[in-house]
Amino acid sequence: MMFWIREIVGWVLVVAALVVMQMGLNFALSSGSPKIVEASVVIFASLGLLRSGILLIRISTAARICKLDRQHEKSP
Amino acid sequence: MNRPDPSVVTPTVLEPTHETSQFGGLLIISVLASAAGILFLLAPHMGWPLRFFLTAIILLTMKYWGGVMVLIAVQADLFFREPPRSANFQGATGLLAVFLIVTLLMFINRNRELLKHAASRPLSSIFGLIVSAFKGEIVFDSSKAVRQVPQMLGAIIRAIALLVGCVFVSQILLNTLPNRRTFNEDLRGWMLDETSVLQCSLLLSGIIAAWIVCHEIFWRQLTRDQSRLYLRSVFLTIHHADLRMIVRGRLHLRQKSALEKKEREAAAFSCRTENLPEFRR
Repeated sequence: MMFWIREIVGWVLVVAALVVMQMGLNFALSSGSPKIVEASVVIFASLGLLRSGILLIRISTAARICKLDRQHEKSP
Repeated sequence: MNRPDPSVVTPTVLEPTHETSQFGGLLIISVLASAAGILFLLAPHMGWPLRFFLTAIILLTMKYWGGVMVLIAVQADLFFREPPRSANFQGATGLLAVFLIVTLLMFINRNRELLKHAASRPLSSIFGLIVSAFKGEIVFDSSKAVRQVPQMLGAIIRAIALLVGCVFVSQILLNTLPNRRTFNEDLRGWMLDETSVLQCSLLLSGIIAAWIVCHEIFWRQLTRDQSRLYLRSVFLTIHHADLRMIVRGRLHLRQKSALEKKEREAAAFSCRTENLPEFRR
């Protein structure tokens, strides 16, 4: 169960990172007055979110594979 | 508990099987011939010796780079053809050439191991195949070959569907970009138009999302050994500072106890010598 919670949290973080990244892109690409500094700060934060989300997803996937294989080994 | 043999690795997308197909030799020869043909068709204004030399280099380094060098050669040729001499790549001939090049690149990347073996000794392996075919040393298992034909047909149909899909999507994407004639006007209008900028940011976010999803799908093909290794490396990365502190603390403690022991021994020795009579010191 913990693996699934971790994976769901990871995907939520990835989605949040994408939303924040799009906010940053809108800052940078706004034609009236492009806010480059604000955009760089927001995109940096979104990259952190993305990295942590992907780490959570990968850890939960790897742990689930290990656990499934161990269960297969135990059951003859 | 029965532990599996570590030398036996489950075949996955990351580690394809190394079983040689019955048509392996034929595939190697056809791919090397088509790669050589495509490379000869590139850069028609270059001299023959230089084309021979470049083709030989690309074929011989295929085992290191796979299809990357072929792709670079095609891109360089397209770059130097631009714009008036690119008429050869337009129309039905151009479409066929693009299909052929993309198919070749896909095949090279799919059968990297097979080609690595052939590209390490291209001439000797081809001559060896021909000689052994004439001598009848190649055992052609017809039943196995018949079993492999439907698999190959399925793979060809999948590859064609993938190719058509890729070409269709790339054509849609390329049609949205401005061409050379209207580039400046389109760019000016694009920058002034807020909706297109919004679409661009949406497209970028969508591409990143698709990239993440594809990566995660491939990540799920991990074997047990790979996932164990990954978990250990993540554990070490996360706890690196704590583990380092613990190990350094223990080393410091050991050094301190060794020093104390040495001092105690030295003190005991001096006590013993002090109690001895003068002539025995």
